[in-house]
Amino acid sequence: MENNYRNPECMKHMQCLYEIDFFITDLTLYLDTHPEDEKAIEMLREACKQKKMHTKEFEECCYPLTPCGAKCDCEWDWLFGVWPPFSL
Amino acid sequence: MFTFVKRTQIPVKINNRNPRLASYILDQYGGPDGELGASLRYLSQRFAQTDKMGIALLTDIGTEELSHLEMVGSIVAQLTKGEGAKSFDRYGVGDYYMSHANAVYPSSASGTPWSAATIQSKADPIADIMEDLAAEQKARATYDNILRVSDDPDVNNVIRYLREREVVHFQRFGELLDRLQSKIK
Repeated sequence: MENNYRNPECMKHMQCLYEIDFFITDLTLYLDTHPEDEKAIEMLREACKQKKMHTKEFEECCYPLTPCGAKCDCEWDWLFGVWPPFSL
Repeated sequence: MFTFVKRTQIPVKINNRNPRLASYILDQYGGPDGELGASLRYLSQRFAQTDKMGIALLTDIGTEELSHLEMVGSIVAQLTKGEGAKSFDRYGVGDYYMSHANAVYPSSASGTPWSAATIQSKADPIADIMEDLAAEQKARATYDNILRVSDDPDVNNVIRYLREREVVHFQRFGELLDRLQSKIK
């Protein structure tokens, strides 16, 4: 049974994921051509920790973002949530 | 390998409907300078690279282009959601509707199906990177063309973001070229 996902909790964690994941993607490309930048590596590691945390919190109260995020309840809730072409 | 995560790179939320604008944006889905070509070009070229920086950069940018492909397709899908034959006809894109209705199909804005003839993978690191630099400029120029005709703010937000990413990719490929050329010296 699906819920309404446009609530402040889900929107907040999703917004954090948009931002932190973009940061990780951009920093990854930078590090690919600047592999010696230790400060950047540290920033990436910290951002990955944040991403893990926000992903877990989002999946707890909203819906799975990957199949492993599916809850072990009675339904295959991987089917749930906002799929492309739509966005939360 | 590739994993799917159930969100787009940035949110795509289009309020209006416009099959004509969708047909223009489709050029970045299945057109000669679009995201499908970009992903396959980089993800194919990476196999011939021997420099780990080259392998990593082509893989990582190629992967990001797949996410962009998804966003472009999402814009097209949202712009045409619920639109029928008469609407497509009125917007002057009835011919697309005949073949595809309001589906998302990889073709250019002028209706040419996507073709690998628009990309190259040559196992020559310098030739490949030179092509990649050009590809990023061509993609950026196509986004410029879209911005010249679109006055939809929801669409333009996403298009401007995608355009900016092409500029960054160009920068990174430039850095890789510098490295490859200095290794030759």
